[in-house]
Amino acid sequence: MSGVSQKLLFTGLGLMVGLLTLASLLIGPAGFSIADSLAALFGGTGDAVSLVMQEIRLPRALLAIMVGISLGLSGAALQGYLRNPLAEPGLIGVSSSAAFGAVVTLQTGLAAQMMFALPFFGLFGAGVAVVLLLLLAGPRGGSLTLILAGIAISALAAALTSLVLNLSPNPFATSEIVFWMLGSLADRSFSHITIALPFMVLGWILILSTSRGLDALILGEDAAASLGINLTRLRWVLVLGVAACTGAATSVVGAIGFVGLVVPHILRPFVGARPSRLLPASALGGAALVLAADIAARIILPDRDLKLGVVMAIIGAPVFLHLIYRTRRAEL
Amino acid sequence: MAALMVNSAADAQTAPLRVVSMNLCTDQLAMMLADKGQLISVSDIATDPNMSPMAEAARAYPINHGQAEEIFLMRPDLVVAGRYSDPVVLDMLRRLGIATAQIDIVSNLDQVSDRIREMGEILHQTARAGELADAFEADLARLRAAPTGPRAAFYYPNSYSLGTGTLSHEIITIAGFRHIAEEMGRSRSGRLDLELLTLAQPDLLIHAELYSGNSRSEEVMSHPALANLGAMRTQSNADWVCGTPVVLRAIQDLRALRARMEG
Amino acid sequence: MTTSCLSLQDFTVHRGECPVVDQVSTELRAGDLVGLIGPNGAGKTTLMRGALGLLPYQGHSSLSALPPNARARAVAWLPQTREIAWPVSVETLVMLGRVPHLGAGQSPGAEDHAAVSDALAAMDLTGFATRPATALSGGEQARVLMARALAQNCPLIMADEPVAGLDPRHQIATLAHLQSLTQSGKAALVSLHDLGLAARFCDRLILMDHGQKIAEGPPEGVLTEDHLRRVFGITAHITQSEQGLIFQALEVVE
Repeated sequence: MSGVSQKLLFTGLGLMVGLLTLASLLIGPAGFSIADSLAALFGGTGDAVSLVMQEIRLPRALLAIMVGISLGLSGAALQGYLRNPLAEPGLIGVSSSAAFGAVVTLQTGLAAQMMFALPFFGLFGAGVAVVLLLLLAGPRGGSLTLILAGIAISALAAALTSLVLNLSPNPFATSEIVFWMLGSLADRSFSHITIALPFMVLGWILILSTSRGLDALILGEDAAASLGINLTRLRWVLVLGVAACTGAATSVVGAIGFVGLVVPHILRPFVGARPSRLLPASALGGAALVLAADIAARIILPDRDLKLGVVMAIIGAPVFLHLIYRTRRAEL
Repeated sequence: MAALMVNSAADAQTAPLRVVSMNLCTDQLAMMLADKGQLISVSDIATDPNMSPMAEAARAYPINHGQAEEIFLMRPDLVVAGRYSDPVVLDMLRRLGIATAQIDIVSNLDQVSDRIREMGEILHQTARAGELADAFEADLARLRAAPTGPRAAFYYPNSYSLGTGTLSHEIITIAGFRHIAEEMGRSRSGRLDLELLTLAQPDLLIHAELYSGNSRSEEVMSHPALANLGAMRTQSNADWVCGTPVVLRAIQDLRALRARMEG
Repeated sequence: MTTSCLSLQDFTVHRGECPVVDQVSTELRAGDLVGLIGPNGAGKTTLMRGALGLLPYQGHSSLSALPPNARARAVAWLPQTREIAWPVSVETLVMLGRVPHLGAGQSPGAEDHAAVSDALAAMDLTGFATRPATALSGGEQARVLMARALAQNCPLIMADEPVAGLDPRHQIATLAHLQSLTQSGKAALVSLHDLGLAARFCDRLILMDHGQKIAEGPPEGVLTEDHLRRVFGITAHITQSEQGLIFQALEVVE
């Protein structure tokens, strides 16, 4: 199926993100009227309603968008490079490894000493995972090798994270494995946005620069190289880009899976399967999905902190199962 | 709820000579009321200054970890525990022929003197207990203030906040503060969303002391929204935990804090 | 003197200890349609990939000496493995051949669209433009991929088994089109298993066996009885006709 008009698609996606952002700003346990909320958001100074809108809801919505863009882009990029629709940072262990990097930074006190240590080590953890994955199941590896490598990396990262948390002298640390493995946007603030944003923007730019290479890879590596694409450079730019934005996102909200799987899968028919168009579409789609899931988490259980990963898994796991089923039929 | 006396294999008329306490709150009462040599062991938590207001005093006693075997080897004739102490351990001790007594927790300050007197009965120190209880009631009456002071809120890691049916609630209201949980109709403790706390605009925020190491659970207490409220901050400490005369110290500290806030 | 499109001197590719391509020298000029023939494992694919700089090699290759962008405009490479990773439209796929001509972030212009339409027409694919490439038959996909190489509009086309699996009509049409391209100034190096097609359409043949160049020259000179017996292990019937050399393999020899 060739794509629908691209202007229509991107306008539609942009509109969705805009509306969901608005909804995210207006929904919360404190029930303000829409007029009051917006007035406090833009105008208010220091009173309680402004504080809630500017320091609690606004960073939450912005962070949801940033995380969604990062995960959507990473998923689309990994799928384009590996030429496999099952690749995404959560499933293949990139997010869990980023979480491990973040937890080590926090528990050793490095995060408190250096401002950007936290997202940097999230990047580092994510990067190690991507490199490992490419070594184990590079572009020539099929779906089976990819998923197996992902399972192995995820399991190892989760176990190590749990170990580090259990070694902490802090009694709360042990139970925080749940946050790191499922992710949550609750009670995030502008300080989280400040440290994560530079790494995310770097990642976005790097990933978007692989557009042409990913398109050329439709023809396979040999043909792409003959079209002038530097495959080695493409690989490293991709690794760094995915590591940067996924690592930074995970280090401030925990590992959120399935976004990078679901969004490119749904949008692929709308962009005519072109990887270069799928990248920006997935960025917007990812933002919309994370916003929507965060809103759902707040509506379903308003008193508790329902982890974002729970909602995402409920949405994403059926899509994953469907994709496995389709892959299996194609490979038969 | 009165003390539970189960299986008094020991004669109820004879004073217990070797008492082991396995609960933080009973440790405190026992240390205050027992004769020298009557109390032979307190729980390990009693020596932790983060949790026990009598940590110094507790170091004079051998400690136990609430295990049946180690307590049995101390050859006590009475073991005092809290209501929620491990029932398996207590059952084992009873079957080994040791008398046990359990003291309930305190949810309002009127019950404190009751508990003192109960412990006095158990230890056969009724005279001492009576004095302590009377002194407590007098001090409490002296410290009691009208709740017209600043509005206070509890905020612990994981956004945990206390309800009105708790000892801590009593402590702050006796000291003259108003508890926002009362305005919100929250009798039970549980998670309080940051938005609601911000909107309530408390004048005083009561936290717990931060543990060493790092945890995300404790991060919320330094959220910018709270910082920008301009509320006074203080910490609840070991004095707040048990319903014993030690709470008077907590109330006194709060009264001083209130004076500083209003003065 | 016509321009040289590819120059190989003492070109050698090793896999481990073994030379898979052993000291091959040759030169292609504008107007040449050269067929690369030899049994399986002779080193044809390795020679082509090495000449493009996709493999480490010893010796000299004029193409791989070029920087990647210049090389992409100098030669269009059509690999044997016909990969199409995603269900993009035929037009999108063929447009990928224009990548070397587009600057970073540049959208295709009129010239690019013209090149794509011409390529589609040459491969008899007009009307297929909007169909998803993965929904086509194997033969149709092969033609789409050839169209991509044509759209790249380079002086030299290198193709590895471009007509394998095509029906006779499209085999002939593809090679005829390559022939007309070379007659108007381009060059092409094509590896072929079908010796009949190689004999009819190619100006020159390069015969390889076990990595070495056994012979190079016009088809009559290369497809001798001796070569056919020693290298391919077959006998064949060869005659001249108005349409060129006719070749038919006959029997296996011991």
